[in-house]
Amino acid sequence: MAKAQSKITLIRGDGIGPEISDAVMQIIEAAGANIVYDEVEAGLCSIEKTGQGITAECMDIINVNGVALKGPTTTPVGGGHKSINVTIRKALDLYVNLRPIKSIPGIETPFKNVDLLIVRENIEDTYGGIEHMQSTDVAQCLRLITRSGSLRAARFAFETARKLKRKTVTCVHKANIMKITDGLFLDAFREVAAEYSDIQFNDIIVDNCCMQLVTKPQQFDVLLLPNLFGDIVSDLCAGLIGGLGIAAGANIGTRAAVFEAVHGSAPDIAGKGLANPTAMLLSGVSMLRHLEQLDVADRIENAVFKVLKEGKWKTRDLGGTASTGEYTRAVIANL
Amino acid sequence: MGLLNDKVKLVGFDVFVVNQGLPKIPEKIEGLTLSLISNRGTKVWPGPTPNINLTDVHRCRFIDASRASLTHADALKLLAGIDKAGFEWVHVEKLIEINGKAGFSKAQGE
Repeated sequence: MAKAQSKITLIRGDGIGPEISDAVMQIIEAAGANIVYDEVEAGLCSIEKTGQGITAECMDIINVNGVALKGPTTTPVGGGHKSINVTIRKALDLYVNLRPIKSIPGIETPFKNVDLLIVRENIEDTYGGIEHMQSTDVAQCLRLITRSGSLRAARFAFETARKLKRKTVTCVHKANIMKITDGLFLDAFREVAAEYSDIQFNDIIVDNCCMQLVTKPQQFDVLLLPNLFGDIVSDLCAGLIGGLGIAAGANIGTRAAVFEAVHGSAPDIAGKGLANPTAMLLSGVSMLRHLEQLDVADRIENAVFKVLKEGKWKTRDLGGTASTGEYTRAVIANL
Repeated sequence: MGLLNDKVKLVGFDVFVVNQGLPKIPEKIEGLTLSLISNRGTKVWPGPTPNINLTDVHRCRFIDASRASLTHADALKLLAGIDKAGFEWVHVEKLIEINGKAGFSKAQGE
C-alpha cells in the first residue's frame, strides 16, 4: 500500500545549494516518492532580504511540517551572523546529529568495509556560542555539558543501535583532561548503557579514537560524542569513505528532523554545473526512510551505488568529469 | 594589558542564575536593563520562548541603556538586586568593548 503523502520543508540554501536541490528533487520525483515540498528561504538570500539567516516564520514552518530537507548555507566567518545550521538545530531542539559512514562501491579509499554510525550530541558543548573577552588578552568560550542532554543523546545512541541491530556503542571523550564536563558525559553514557543488556559498550579517549579511525576504522560500530568532538570526528570519518561530497547527515529531535548535506556551500563552483549532489541525495534517502517510504529510498540508494560503481558519470570531486546534470540523469536512468 | 587599559569600556554583565523554568527576573535592576535571557546559548527572552528543553542555568544579560561606562560597583549592586529578587546567581561575566568593538558574542536567535 502506498504511503500517505508527506509534506516536507525544502530549504535550497545558497552557493551550490539550489542546483543540488534541483538534482535531488528530480531524482526523488523520478523514483516515485509521495512527497510535496513547502519551500522556505534560509542562508544568504534570507540575509539579503530580511537581515536574518532564517526567520522565525520559516522556523515555524519547519516545526509544523516536522521534516525538512536542507541544502548547504553559507555562514559568514568572524563577526556578523550566527551559523544557520546551529540556529536551526538549537531552536528546534534537534538534539542529535546522525551520520552514517559506510564504504560505497566505486569510491576508492585506503579503507574497505567501513560501516559505522556517528551519534553526535547537537545542542551543547562549546556550541552555545557563549564567548567573552575577559581582558584585552584573554578570550573565553564556555563549554556547557548537561546531565539531561547527555542522557538523552546516550539513550538515542542505544535505541538506534538496537533498532539497526548494531552490537557496540562507544563513547568518545576527553574525560582524562576535562574531568567535570566530559566526566559528566561519560557518567551519563554508562548510566544509560546499564539499561541495554543486549548492546555492548565501551569508551575511548578522542585522540586515540582518531588514531584508531585512520588505521583500523572497521573496529567501530556506533560512536557517541559530545558536540565539538562529534563535529570534527564525523568529518574525519567522511574522509574515510571518500569525502564530504558523499556523506549524508540528519539532525533529529523529538518534534522535528532536518536532513542535510554536511558539506559547505562551495560558492567557488556555484552555478557552474559541477557540484556533486550525492550527499544531499543520500540525506534525502535517510529522510525517505524516516518517512517510511522505504522502497523509494532503497531504489534511489541502489541507483546511486550502481552509478558510482560503474564510474562513468562521477563528478569532478570524485575523480570524474560528469556535470551535475549528467550525474543526475545517470541516477534516474538506473532507478 | 588588562581590564584597566584605557581602550576597554565596561558596558554590561552576563549573570547566570539557577532556576527551574524561565526566570522572572526584574527587567530593571539598579539602573541596568535586562536585554536578554538565553539557555545554553539560545535566546529564550524577549520574544517567544522556543519550544526547547530548558536546563536550569539561564544567562541574563544586563546592559546600561544609556551606553555609559560601568564600574565594578555596578556589578555588586546588580548582584545584590538579583539576590534581593530571590534568584541564585552562579556565575558572572563582564561585557566589555575593546576599542569600540564588542568583546562578547550574541546569543543564538538574538
